[in-house]
Amino acid sequence: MPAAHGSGRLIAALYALFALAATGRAVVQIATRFSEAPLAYLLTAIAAILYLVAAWALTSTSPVARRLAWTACSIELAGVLCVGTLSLLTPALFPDDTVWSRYGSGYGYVPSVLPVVGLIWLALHRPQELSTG
Amino acid sequence: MTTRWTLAVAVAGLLLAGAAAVVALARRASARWLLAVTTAVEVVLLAAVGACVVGLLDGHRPASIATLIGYLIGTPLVLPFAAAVAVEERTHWGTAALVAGGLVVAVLAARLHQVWQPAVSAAGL
Repeated sequence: MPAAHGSGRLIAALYALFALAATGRAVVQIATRFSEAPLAYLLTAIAAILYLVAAWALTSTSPVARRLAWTACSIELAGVLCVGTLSLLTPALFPDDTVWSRYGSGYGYVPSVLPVVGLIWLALHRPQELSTG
Repeated sequence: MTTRWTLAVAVAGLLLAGAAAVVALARRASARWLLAVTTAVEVVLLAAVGACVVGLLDGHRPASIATLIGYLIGTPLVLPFAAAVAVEERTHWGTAALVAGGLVVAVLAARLHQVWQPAVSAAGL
């Protein structure tokens, strides 16, 4: 089975979009004012990498890709919950926003919804179940 | 991005999203006319980006020029990518990618409008 189809491809496309958004944000922030909020900007860069990995892994059904997709979506969910909570409790930790600040409110909360949708999709579309019917 | 161009791009993006939503809800793959609409929206967007570049060359200085350039490069990538997904995924899920693409372009137009504004005079740059 070469690639995921249907709804999986839409989810992967949304991940690719957020990879683009987070990469752009990380590049601009790290290039122009890294010293202002290094933790926030590094987190944005990490988020960008995770989105990229998920975007690629969700379009493939190979076992390695599946494990990567599970890992990337899980870390993202943990990241957006941790950073979202921390950014509300101790705003001083993040002088500037990350993609995950306040549970992704700057991005319509999509950063919180996307990993949940990704994990649900992965749970519903296990490759072995697809092949056995 | 000036208010006029922002409105043009946002309305075009929302029209695309609406048209694609009708097709997607009918559980159809994207038709050729929908890809033509997508192309038209991209043309409007590229014209708006061109107007921004002209404005920059004319001496307009936004609060953060790096951020603006990032958005000027990133925004035109969205619809070609959504169209590629729609062409490859011949189901209503591919059409849904065009719905998302149109909505995202409308949001990015609003964002470009914010990013276009000059620095507050007190910033002293």
